[in-house]
Amino acid sequence: LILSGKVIEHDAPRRLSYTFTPHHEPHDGTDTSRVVMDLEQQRDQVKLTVTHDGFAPDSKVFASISNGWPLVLSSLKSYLEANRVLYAPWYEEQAKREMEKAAS
Amino acid sequence: MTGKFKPNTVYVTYIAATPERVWQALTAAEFTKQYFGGQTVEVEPKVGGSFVMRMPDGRVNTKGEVVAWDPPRRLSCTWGFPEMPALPECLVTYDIEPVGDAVKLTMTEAHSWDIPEALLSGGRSGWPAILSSLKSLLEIGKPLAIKMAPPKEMIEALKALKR
Repeated sequence: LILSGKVIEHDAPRRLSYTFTPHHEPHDGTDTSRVVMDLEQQRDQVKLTVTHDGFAPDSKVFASISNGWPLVLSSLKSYLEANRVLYAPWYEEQAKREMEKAAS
Repeated sequence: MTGKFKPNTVYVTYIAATPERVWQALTAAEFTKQYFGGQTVEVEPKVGGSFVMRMPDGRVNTKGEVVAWDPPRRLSCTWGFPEMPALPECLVTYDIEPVGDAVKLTMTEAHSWDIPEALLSGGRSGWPAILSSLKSLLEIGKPLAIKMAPPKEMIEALKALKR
């Protein structure tokens, strides 16, 4: 389990919001914040605005998502426009750690 | 001279391209005119060189100095605004890092004064559009046709600055 949450708003294809609880390291599945995705049509394009807020005062999630969202959203754009995805080295490092953990 | 500038807006995007291609897209006029609201860049390739952005009609929109010139890794320039002399210059830095088979491009807009939020709104709405368009141009050969206008709150704040 990497992430869990509950849908707060579901207004396809304009707005999706949900609670966001990461379970992967260094998180323990108790640190919950909120994600809001807003989609606006602009001619033949879409403006996607991601707002991530509602962090607990001692939350470690902000540091993780500051790394994560730019890559995830860049990859989403490449997937939709160029039919390819982008990887970052830390994906592999993370996967390796998870596998080592599972094996031990 | 750059120590007094504090970062206010940071935008990160990953692009499927080489650092050299991203560098070229940031420093060559034939690229910038496609994704930067029609503006053409003129940059003297050395620290202390001049940095200019021209509107499609030839007017100078931005004028400054090259503070860091390290192709294809880092470009940092001061941005002054000749048509808005009351607005202090800012510092715009592009950092380019290879990551996997892609490039991480980080744009940092830094200011030397306690700039009001309303004046930051221009960059905060403009950079995502500009850098998304740059990414499309490099990945699919086609920029985005985004019609950009300065946010109303920024125009109001600029008027207040002149008084």
